[in-house]
Amino acid sequence: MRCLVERDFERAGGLADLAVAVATEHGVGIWATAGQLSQGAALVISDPGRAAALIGAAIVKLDAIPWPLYHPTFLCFQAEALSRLGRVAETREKVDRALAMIASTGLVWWDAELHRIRAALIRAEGGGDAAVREALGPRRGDSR
Amino acid sequence: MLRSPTKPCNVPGRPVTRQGFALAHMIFANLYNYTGKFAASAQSVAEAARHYQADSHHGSFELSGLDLGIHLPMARMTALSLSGDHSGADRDMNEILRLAEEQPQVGVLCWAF
Repeated sequence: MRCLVERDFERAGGLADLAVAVATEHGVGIWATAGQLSQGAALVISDPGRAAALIGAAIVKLDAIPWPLYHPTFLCFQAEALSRLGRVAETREKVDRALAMIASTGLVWWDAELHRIRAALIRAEGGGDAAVREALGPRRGDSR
Repeated sequence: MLRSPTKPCNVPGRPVTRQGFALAHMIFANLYNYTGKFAASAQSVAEAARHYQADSHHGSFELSGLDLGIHLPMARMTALSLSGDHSGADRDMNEILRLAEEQPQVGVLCWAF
């Protein structure tokens, strides 16, 4: 995860490949899925189409268990990949889902990156600086 | 499985209580991290490290599925990375991978990757 935080995608991809190989060999499905999420995230710039597909398939598996910890993070990577492909409506869907999960769980640790993608999305939807400020600025009563 | 707080864990001569404290602080460290309270998380990691007994990580895995021997440098690595100390984070990352390769739990190895 550290390599993804630092966007060191080459190293992240190598470690994710190892995780998937070991987890698959030993039949540890949850870690194979987690590794697949990281494999997808590591491809977000070099192969956004594959990144979006890998993350999408892994998130479907992740939805089956009550473990929302990494959903916002990888929905964010998936949104970035879709954004790079110009698939604006799907990007909006992923961003909104991540925001809803954050609102319901309080898992805000990936907020900064999600807002970066959200700002790019607002611009792709035709919004300007004012729209970005309106969407991302502090809300009334928000002390964070 | 619930254990008695005074029952020895799988490391002879080491009571489970200190590992329990380390584990509790690590749970708070995770909670604070994922809820964006990074300074509080770092403080909890320091508290966990204070209670942690070296080489007892297999016992901590039995208690929780969480291997503290690896989780402590993992948390430190994250803090160093977020503060821009990438060489320090690299040192911890190498230590994490070494420890993960040496321990017997496949899940912990995958998690460390």
